[in-house]
Amino acid sequence: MDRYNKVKRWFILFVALLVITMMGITMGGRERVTFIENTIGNIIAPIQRGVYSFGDFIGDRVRPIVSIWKLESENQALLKENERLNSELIDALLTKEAYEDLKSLESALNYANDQGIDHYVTSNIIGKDIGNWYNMFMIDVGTKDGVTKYSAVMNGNGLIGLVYEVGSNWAKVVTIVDNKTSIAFEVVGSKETYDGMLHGSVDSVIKGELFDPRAKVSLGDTIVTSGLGVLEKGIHIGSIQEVVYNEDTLLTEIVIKPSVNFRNIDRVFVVIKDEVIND
Amino acid sequence: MISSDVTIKYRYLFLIIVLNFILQSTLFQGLKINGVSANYTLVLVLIITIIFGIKEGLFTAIFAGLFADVFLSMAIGINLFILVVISILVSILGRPLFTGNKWILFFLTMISTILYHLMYGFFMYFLNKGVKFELVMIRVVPIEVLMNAILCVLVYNVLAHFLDRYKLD
Repeated sequence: MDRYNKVKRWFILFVALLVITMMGITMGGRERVTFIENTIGNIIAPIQRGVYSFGDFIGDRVRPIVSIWKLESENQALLKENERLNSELIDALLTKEAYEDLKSLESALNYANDQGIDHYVTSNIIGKDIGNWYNMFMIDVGTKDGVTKYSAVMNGNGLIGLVYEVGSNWAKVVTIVDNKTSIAFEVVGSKETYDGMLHGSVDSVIKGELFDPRAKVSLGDTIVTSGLGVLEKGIHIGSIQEVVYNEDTLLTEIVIKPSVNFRNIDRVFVVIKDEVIND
Repeated sequence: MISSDVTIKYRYLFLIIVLNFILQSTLFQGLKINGVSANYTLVLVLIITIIFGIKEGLFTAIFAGLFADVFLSMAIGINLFILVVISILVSILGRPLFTGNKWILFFLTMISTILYHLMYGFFMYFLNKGVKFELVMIRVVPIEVLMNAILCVLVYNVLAHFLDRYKLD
């Protein structure tokens, strides 16, 4: 009996170490999931899609009823904002410099289309993270549709995140807020274009550093992907919310306000990488 | 101490686990308070361990943890490990204490939820993922603790009512 208990203890210790090792190996996402995971995912994904759509359908009908008491105050606030915007619009004078800035911004934002990056698949979100630590979600496209690890996931407002792991008809996505993978960006609202790297952070804020220590950027300048690294150029990320000069690193650091509302995403599109299209 | 002899077939338990995963990742996402949702998987593991015992509890912890890890987690094994540890602790320490008093179940769930987050933060820190520990502990845990505890008591009440032969000393 003593020997049996001893063996049992060693077995439990072995399994615990095995699970911890597995965590270490799978952290950061894998290029391909195993056959069993893929098969189970293929079975569950369509069910999740159905249930999620049903939930959305119910939510769309219940939400207005729940928030009806807010409507009056929202209406008043919107009326005030409308008045303010109208007066701002009348006062606004589009200088030549501002016009040039807008042209540069326009070309940057249209870069994706100009360069023919129109290979993308639309997808529905079919499941969201069950814990409260990270913003991960599942989508209903996978390797069959050309999706690979690190494919960019966006919606009409801008970059949402990157594909973390992928099955044949499903994929896990981690948002840029939670992603520690560095993303190359450029600032396009300024007279000059400045490059830098951004990353999610522990406090759910997107932060970045500009490579040029003399970079002059202002609040509200637009941030797009620069095309270096894993993502295509010209994907809208957000705008500068805060600029801090770090005296230790001698770099200008920025806090970015994302253009996407991460709490309200239902439909996304995934950019298919060139190498997949060429294959 | 529980003296019930209720059992459940593992295939039904597996179906409950799958159903829980599908509902938690889809429909139940709409049931959030201040952006925080209850951890239905943790509640399921607690309820199964309390009512049916360690074997069924471990089965639930392993498969529910695996589902959560494979499809909606940063790394495989985190939820599995934490849920297994909680299931073992509840069966060793919590189950003998539980006499049917709903407050014991309430506090057991509260402690389990805090333990879940402490362990999750610990693993994420050592896996170099970056941990927003204070943020989670201040903004998420207090709400989730209450949501889990209330949910656990409600589900337990319903189940105990419907299960034949479920008796407490």
